[in-house]
Amino acid sequence: MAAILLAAAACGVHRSPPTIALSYPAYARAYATVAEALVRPGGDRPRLLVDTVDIQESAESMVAWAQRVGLLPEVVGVVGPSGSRLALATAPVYNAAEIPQVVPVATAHQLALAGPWTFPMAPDDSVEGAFLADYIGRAVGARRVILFYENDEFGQSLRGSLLKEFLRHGITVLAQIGVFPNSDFEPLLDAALVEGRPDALVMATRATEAGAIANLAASRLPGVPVVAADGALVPDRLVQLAGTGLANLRAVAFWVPDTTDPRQREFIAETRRVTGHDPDADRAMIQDGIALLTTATDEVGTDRTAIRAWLRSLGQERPAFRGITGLISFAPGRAHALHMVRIAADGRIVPEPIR
Amino acid sequence: MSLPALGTPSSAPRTVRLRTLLLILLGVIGIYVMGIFLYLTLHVGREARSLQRDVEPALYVFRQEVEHGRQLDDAVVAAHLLVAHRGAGPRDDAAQLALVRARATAPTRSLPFAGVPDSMRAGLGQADEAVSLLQNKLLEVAALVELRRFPDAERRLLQVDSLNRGLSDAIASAEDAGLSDLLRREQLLREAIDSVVLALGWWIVVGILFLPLVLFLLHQRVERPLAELEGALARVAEGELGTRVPVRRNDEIGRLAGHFNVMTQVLRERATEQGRFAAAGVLLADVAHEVNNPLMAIGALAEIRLQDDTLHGEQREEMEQVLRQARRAGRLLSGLLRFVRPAEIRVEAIAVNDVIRGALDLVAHQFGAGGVMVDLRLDPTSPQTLADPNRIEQVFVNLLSNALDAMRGHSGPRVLSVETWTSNGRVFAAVADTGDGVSNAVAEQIFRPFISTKGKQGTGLGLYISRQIVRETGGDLVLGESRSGSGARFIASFPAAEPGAVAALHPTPAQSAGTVRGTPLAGLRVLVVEDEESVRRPVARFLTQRGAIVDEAAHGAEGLARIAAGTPDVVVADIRMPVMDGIAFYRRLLVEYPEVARRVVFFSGDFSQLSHLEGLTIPADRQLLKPVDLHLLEVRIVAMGRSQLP
Repeated sequence: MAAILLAAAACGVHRSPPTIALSYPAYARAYATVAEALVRPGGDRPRLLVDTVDIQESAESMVAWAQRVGLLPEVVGVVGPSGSRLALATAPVYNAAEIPQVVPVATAHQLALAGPWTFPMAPDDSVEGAFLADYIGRAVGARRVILFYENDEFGQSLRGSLLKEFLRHGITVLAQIGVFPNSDFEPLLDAALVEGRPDALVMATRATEAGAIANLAASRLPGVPVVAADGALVPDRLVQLAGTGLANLRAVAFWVPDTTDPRQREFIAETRRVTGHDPDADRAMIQDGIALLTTATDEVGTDRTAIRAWLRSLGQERPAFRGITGLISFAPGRAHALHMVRIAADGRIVPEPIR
Repeated sequence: MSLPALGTPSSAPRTVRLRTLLLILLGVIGIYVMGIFLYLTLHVGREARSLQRDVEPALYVFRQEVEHGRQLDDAVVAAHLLVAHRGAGPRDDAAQLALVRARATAPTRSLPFAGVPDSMRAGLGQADEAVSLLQNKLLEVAALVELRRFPDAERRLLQVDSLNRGLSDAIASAEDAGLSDLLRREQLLREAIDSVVLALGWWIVVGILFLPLVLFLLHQRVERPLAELEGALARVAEGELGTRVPVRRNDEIGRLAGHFNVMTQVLRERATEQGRFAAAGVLLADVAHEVNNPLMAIGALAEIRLQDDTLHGEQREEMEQVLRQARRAGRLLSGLLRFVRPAEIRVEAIAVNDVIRGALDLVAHQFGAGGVMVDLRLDPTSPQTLADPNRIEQVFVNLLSNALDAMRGHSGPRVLSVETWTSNGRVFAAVADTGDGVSNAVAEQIFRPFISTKGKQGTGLGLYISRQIVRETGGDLVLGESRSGSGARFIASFPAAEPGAVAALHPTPAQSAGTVRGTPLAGLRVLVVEDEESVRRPVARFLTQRGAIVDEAAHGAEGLARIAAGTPDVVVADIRMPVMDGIAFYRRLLVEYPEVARRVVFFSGDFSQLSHLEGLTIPADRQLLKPVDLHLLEVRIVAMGRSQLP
C-alpha cells in the first residue's frame, strides 16, 4: 500500500484544493482579489475560481460553465451569478450536481423554488416590489405611474410584484413597457404619455434603460421622479446616461456603505485600492457570499451536504451570519434592510432619507 | 449396503443444523428473488424514471414556447395590418393595436426550465430571449403607429419579421434538441430493457442450476431421513422391533433417528421381558393346575371331615387348619395367575381395600425376610370404585414392591404403611415407606417412561403404567410429600362408584358361601366331569352328602356319554382334562344339549383358557377358581338347579 501511495505521489497524483467558484465574467476577477485580501488572509482556506475571459455574460455560456464546474469535485460551493435570469438558468445545473449555490443579488422569486442547493441572499421581488410601491405611494405621493420593465426574469418578476402592490396602494399604472438596453426609448415613452401624465416613472430595469429614460424624462416630464429597482444601481452607468435626469433618479440599494463600521471601511478601502472605485451593493454581497462559503468550510469542512446544512441552519439552529451587508440568513421570513439612494454627479451613492 | 453411523447422533459427523440450513436456503432464495427486483429497479428503473421525469417538463416548456410563438405571430400580423393601413384602415385598428400591446406585454418567461434536459436548455433559452426581443420590438411598432410615425414603424417591422424568424428557428432548434434527447433516453431505456432481458435469462438459468442443488440438499437432509423414519415406524407398527434407522448427521433429524433407535431398543428389551413373563405365566398356570388339584382334594376332604358332627376338639381344629391353609395356598396361586396372565379389561365394582389385601398377599413373602413391619389402616367404610380389579391390583403390587425395594438397603426402621380413606366422593389409598425417599430431581420426572432409580433392575415403566391405569379409572396417582432421607409416599385416588352403576354391573347380589345344614341338593342330579380322581371323588362325596344324585366322568367324552344316558340338572366340569377338555366338552353341549350347556359350572385353576371360547361368554357366577370352597359350589348348584326341581 505504501508503495502504491509513493508511486502515486511520484506521478503527481494529488487531490485538488477545495475551491469556491465565482460565476461571473472575467471582469469580476477584481472581486476575487478583494476577497483574497479580506476573506482569505492565508491558511488552507478554499481557493477562488473565477470563470475565464472567454465567458460572456449570457445564459448559454453561464450554463455551459456551470456544467463544467459541476464536474469538478474540488468545488465546495458557487457564488453567483448576479442576475435573476442567469441565476435561474444555472440553478438546475448546480442542484443536479449538488453544489451549494449562493446567489448574491438576484431577486426573482422563482429562485426560492429553484432547488435545495440554491441560496438567494437578496430579498425576492415581492419584498422589493412592496418597498418600491410603498416609497412611490407614500414618499413620492404618486397616484399614476408608467412602469418600464426589463423583459426578462428579473423585470417580469418584479413587474408582477409591483402591479400587485400598486393595486394595494391605489396607484394607477398608465402603461407597462417592456424594454431592453437597445430599445428605442423615445417613441415608447412618447406613446405611453398619450395615456396621460404620470406622477412618477418606475423602472424595473437595469442601469442602461433607467439612465436613458431618466434623461428623456428630464425633457418631457420635468420634475417627475424616476424610481428604479436595485438592478439599475450602477452609478457610473447612470451618471453617463441620465444626464440632467440624474437628479430626479432614485434607486433601491441592498447595501449602503457605513463608514463607521471598521470592516466596511476596510472593504471599501481595499476595493478602492484594487479597482479605483467605491464598492456597490453587488460587490459587497459577492464579498459576503464568498465569506459565507469560506466560513462554512472552516466550520464543517468541505463536504457539500454539510455546507448546505450549515447554510440552511443560519438564523435557525445557528445565529445569522454577520457580513458586510448586515445579518445574513436563509430562514423563512428573514428581515432585509432596503435603502433608497440617489446618485451624486460624481457617482457617489447618497442615501435618500425616507419621510 | 452398509449403513453409516448407525446408532446415536454423537457418532454421526457434525454438520450444519437443519434449522440453520433451512434459514440459509430461505436467505439465498430471498436474495435471489430480491436480486431480480433490485436489478430491475436499479438498471431499468433509473432510465425509466429519467425518461418519465424529463419528458413531461420538456413537453410543457416546449408547448409554452410554441404557444408564445403562435400568439406573437398573431401580433406580428396585426402589426403589419396596422402599418399597412397607416391609420386609415378599418375601425378595428384600435383592437389590433390593443392586441399587439397585449401580446407584447404578456408575461412569457419560462426559466428556470426545471426538469428540462440540458440539451434543450440552450435552445429554449434562445427562444425565450427571442420572444422577449420580439415583444419589445412589437411594443415599439405599436408606439410608432400610435405616434403615426409609419415609416419608422415599417423599418421596425423588418426587425420584427427577422426576430420572428429567429424565434421560429430557436423553437425548431429546441424541438430538435428535445426530440434528440428523448430519443437518446428512449434508446438508453431500450438498451437497458435488452440488457435486463438478457440478465434475467441468465438469472433464471442460475436459478434453474441452483434449484437441483436446493432439492438435493432438501432430499438429503430432510426427505430421505424422514422417509427412512416413516418406513421404520411402519415396520415397528408391524412388529419388527429390530428396526433401526441410519443416523447420518448430528442434526435435528439425526437426533430424532437416534431417539428412534433407542426407543426400538427399549421396546425390544421390553418385548423380551414380556415374553419371559408370558412364558412364566404359562408355566405358572401349569404349576397352578398341578398344585390346585391336590389343594382342592385336601380342602374337599377337610370340608367333608368337618361335615362330620362327631369330629371334636383338637381333631376339628387341625382339620380346620388344613382347610384354611389349603384355601390360603389356593388364593396365592390364583393371585399369581391373575397377575401374570394378561386378560381383557373387565370393569366392575371393586373394593379398593380388597384389592390392596390381594396385592399384599402377593408380596407378603418379602415382609419377614426383609424385616418389614406393615402398618395397615384401611377405611372399612370406603365405597366401591369401578375398575378392572386385576389392573388395580397390578398398581398396588407395583407400589408395594417399589416400597419394599426402597427399604431393602435401608439401615433404619422398615415400615410399610398402607392407608385408605374417603374424601369428597373419592377413595384414596396411600403406600408409604421409610426408605431414602425421592430427590427433587427424580421427583420431577418419576412418572415419565423409562425413568428408573433401580438401574438394570428396573424397567422404568412401573410408575408410568400405574399412573396410566389409575387415570383410566378417572383417578390419579401422585407422589405425596417426599423428602430425601425420609421415605416416599404415593397416593392413588379413585372416584367412588355411583350405587346405580354398581347395581348395573352386579344384577344379582353376591351369594354367600355360608354353610346350610341338611340336604339342600336333595333330588338334584349332578354330573361331575373331572379327570383328577383325587378331586372328583371328594367333590362327588360332598355333593352326595348334601343330597344330590351324583354321576362322575373322567373327561368330556365320558361326560357326554353320561348325559346321553340321562340328562343331569347341573354339570360341574374341569377345564384341563385328557381325551376331551372342558372347552371341547362345552362346545359339544352347546350343539347337542343346549339346555344342559346353560347349567354347566366350571372349576379350574386357570380360567384364562375360557377366552378361547370365541363369541361365547361364561358368566362369572358359573366360574369357580380352584381350590373351590365346596359350600360355594353347593350354592351355585342350588341356584342353577333349582329351576329343574319339580
